[in-house]
Amino acid sequence: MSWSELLLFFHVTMAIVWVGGGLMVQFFALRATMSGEPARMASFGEDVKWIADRVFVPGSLLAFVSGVLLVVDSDFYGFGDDWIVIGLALYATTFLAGLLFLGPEAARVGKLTAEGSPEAGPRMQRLLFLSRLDLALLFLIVYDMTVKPSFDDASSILWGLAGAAVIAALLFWRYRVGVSQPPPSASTAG
Amino acid sequence: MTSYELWLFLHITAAIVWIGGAITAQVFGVLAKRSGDPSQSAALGRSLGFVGMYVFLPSAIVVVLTGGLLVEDGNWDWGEPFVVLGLVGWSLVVAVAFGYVVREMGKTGARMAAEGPSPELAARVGQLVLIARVLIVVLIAIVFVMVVKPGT
Repeated sequence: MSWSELLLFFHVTMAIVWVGGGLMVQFFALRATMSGEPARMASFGEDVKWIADRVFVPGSLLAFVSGVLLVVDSDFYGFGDDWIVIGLALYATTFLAGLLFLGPEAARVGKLTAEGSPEAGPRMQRLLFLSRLDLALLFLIVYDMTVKPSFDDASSILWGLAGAAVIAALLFWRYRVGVSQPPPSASTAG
Repeated sequence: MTSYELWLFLHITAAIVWIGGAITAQVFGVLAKRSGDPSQSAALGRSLGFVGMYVFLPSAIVVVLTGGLLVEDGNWDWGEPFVVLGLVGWSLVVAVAFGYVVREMGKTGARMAAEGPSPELAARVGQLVLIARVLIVVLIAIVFVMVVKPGT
């Protein structure tokens, strides 16, 4: 086994932990929201913060560092390759979105929920919508890393963008439906 | 984009959903146990029963189908060690996880909700979680074999 194979295994494993874990959080968020139980929502929020700080943030940083080391170690790939430029730009977008908005907003929404503010529900819906968009961006990075498109390869780039646009539209539609409906009662789901 | 790249993207995406989701579910399980609140463990058990059948099982099926398409499309030999090891590992994990662990987890979660916590149910959940952890180790070993492709 070569050093680059070991790095690639580590890179893929960290991406699995980070992106797959992010998707699982969304499924559990859906179940917790459907329960309509404020206590369950509150404990779920605490759990997500714990997992994000100790699993997702280190996982994303290790995926990034191992990806950089893979390029440094490679004779074939360079930081000027189109798919690497796209990947780095998407990674920077999701990293900054999490650092500057999603993280602080989650803390603000948690505080509003604890205070029983009527603003908490709509803000939580918006946060979930934006975090799902962020997750879609992560899957777009997976697409970029797998297909490795160049800027000349219009069909690959358009397929990726079209897929992301469809998912974003579905998420926005779900968000609009969610905000237009009253919250479910505690008896509707478990 | 070639068909091979499309199968590879779907194969990796399904593996991410399945394995990454299972790892995170384990962390939620640890946190639920640590909370000492039986209602959290019961809710988690029911949620795991749901995502197991409606998220993990479809992902596992996509993984093996797209894996087969990759072998055919990429002109790999079905006798390659990484293909054989992958199929054996996949079969083992799918049989134990979906034939036993996920079903039992859903049933135990439902019993906890109906009957309340008991040492017997807590021990049952502990057993199932332990089996699920072993399966995750097997899945990560499969990822290793897929990446390194020993013998090629």
